[in-house]
Amino acid sequence: MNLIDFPLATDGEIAIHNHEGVLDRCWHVILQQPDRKGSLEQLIDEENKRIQFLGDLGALDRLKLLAAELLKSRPHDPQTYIVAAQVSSAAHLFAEARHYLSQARALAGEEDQISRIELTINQATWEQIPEVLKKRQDNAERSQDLSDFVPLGALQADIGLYEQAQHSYLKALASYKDLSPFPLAWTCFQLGMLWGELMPEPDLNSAATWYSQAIKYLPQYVHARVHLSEIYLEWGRLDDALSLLEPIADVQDPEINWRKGQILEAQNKSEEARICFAKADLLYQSLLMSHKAAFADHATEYYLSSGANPGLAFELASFNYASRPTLRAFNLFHEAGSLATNNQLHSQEISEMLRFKWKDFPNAEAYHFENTTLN
Amino acid sequence: MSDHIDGPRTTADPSIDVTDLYFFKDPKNPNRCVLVGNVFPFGGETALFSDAILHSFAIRHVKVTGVGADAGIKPFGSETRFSFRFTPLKKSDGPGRMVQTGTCTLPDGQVLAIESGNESGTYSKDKSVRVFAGVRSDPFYIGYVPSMPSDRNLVEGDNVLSLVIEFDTQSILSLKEGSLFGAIFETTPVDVTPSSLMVRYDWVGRPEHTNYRIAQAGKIDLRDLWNQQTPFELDPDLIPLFRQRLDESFKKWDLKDGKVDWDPVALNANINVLIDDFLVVDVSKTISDSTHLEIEKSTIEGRPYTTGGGRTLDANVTDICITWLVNRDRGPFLQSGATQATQPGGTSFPYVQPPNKKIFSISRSAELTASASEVWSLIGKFSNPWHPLVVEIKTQGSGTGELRTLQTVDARFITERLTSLDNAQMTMKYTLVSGLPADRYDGVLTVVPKGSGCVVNWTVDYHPSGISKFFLNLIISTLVDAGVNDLKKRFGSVK
Repeated sequence: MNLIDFPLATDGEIAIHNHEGVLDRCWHVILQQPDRKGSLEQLIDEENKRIQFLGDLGALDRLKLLAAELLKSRPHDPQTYIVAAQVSSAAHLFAEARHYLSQARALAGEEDQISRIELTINQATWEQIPEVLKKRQDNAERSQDLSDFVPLGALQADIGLYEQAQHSYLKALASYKDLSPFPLAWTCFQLGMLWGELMPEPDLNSAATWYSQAIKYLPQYVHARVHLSEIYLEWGRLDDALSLLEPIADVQDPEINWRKGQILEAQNKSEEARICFAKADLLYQSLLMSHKAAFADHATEYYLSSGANPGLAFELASFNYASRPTLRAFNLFHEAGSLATNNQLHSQEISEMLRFKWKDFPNAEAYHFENTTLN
Repeated sequence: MSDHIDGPRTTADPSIDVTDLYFFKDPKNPNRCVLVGNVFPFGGETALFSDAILHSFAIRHVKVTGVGADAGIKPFGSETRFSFRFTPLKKSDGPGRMVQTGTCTLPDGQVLAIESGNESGTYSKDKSVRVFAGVRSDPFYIGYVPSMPSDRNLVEGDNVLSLVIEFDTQSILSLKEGSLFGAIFETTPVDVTPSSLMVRYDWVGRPEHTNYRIAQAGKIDLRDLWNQQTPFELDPDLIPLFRQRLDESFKKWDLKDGKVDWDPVALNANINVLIDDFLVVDVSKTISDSTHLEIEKSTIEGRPYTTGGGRTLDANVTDICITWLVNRDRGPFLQSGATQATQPGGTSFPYVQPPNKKIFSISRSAELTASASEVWSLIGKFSNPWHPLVVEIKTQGSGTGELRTLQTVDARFITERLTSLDNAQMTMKYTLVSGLPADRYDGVLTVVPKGSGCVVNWTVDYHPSGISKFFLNLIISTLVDAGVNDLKKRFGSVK
């Protein structure tokens, strides 16, 4: 796709500024006029944007506070349980989220909303994947809208349908009729992930192009900056890698300090690197205390590399795999297990793990099992 | 809700969502007209315009083509257009201050440079046009939505982005062909090419057309489709679809009071007039808060119109519209719970009022068994360290203006200033100096005798600032709750 083909959007700085104003307004309305229609849904959307794009991990705390308050003050309102389910899902507490959804259903909550959240949870936990895929395909076919193409692409990428995933993402961009840069940045980021991390043979040039475009749409997009910085680090463009992280230096996402530490290490600035790793470590420890499920996978990666704590990595990987048995979780678990025991996991254990439903997936032969020995 | 959130598309980027259009005469100079177009419902106090769209007003001559059963108001002639376009943010003088600039292209092609928020506005060379852009208090008000009747304004305290054009009527509008005009306000892409998926995001003529007349519960949502229509020139293929929707909608509204006021002929005439959605204004006649829809209603009822119609900032347009649809003005005026906007319209440029600051308020009360004087003797002294979460108080000065710095149990230092103390009325007022992320913070503590006991009331009004604003509510409510609970323990509370 040439640059000229990228859909037009409101300038990212303006969009973020307006997002912050709307979020502020939403909290005001929730606190002052709690019954005002639509304000809860909008608040959750805006807080999720902060988590997804701006690395504002405090958003999870605020949402938890909100859900707790609703559960206390409006225990008979089905919307309370829908909100609680969304919050639990955002924190990767999927069993808890399912529990809230069943309560919402028992109180005759809006079925459309409940099913939509259920679909997201099933996708995240790899439950009923063939059905989820079919539903995602139907939704995208019917709406022809970015908001359905991107989750479809994400699922296709997760289960190894890489070409289809790329096709879905490109259709998402081509179908976009609105002006908010957030969905466009999200799609470009997903394409970056696809090319840079998920494809069996990564193409870092393509990944860098997509991450750069995501940043063009949304200059404060934390994960896009961190991922692009990682590519620059790999290419040896250390100053570029570092300057990408500067505008987000104040964000309390441990991955920023982790990446910065790696770059400084490559520049032989070991003392500065050590400080960055210490900060990353502190932030991970703090996040794991409050939101272990949400950060177990990222923390595993950290402790497997710069964090240099294979024992903790294995513990986190096991926890992550138990709550979210995806292929990525399995690969992490396997890698952490190998390092922790200094041995490949026993092949019988691996086979046991691989038994979960994969045989039922479409295109099962395309799944890519890293470091596994099945014989 | 007027044109706020009128369809799924407008929620994706709310800065493209048109909320309202107003067209009235300058209250101080009847030779000048004023157009106000608003976007971005529920915008923040510092909302910014999207740089990816044009915001445009279009005005055309219209004429009454028939009255009564043959009622119709149709456009003719060329269009008079004002278009605004904004830039990305620019750093300005002063620490951290950002400004948004843009341009307004006038009907004669003249381009005015504008800066958002400049209340003086920008004049054209010959002073015939003056324009303003910026965040303002939403002048709209509404107390009735079918699914959500309310005893107050449902958009109370909200802000929008406003565009204002004040112009010399004779210079801008050609009056030789008549003084009756139709106006619309729209948001469109900056560049429309043959491959563009969208040619228009949103537009408005009369208030409540999409949300009250086009939208119907349980039916396919036609609002996005409507919003992509070309104003003044609906797609002929889609007109039957929209007519059918208006027919269903008007019949439902008519039955809201359990009576049929709209016979089929009148209902058809109502559709004929209202399907051509533009704000109708006669610039030669009086436009007031009560003249909204008068031209349309008179035309449908088969009589000459007598006012300038239009829409002022304070007109109660929602209740005027509902009354017309429900009882055809043959019954009582259906006044909802909202009687005015958060801030009434101004009488001079830029007419729309400054943005509302979000004032939060926390109030707690407790009825205590101890006498009022006993309780006041403890809490009525500004320097008294009675609060359970305060470990130390340091004071400076005395009487009104006295400063106290509270050290809280979580090592926070909060400095407050006494603004008034009335021992007779047992009322203390204080304000924040520093220590909390608030740019306004006013506390009032009163003790009111009740029987042999008393009631303690504690209210804090505040306006948060900074990123920690979301937790400020928690901090203040914890302080106030802990204080009031402590008083209950000390003095005994009446259950």
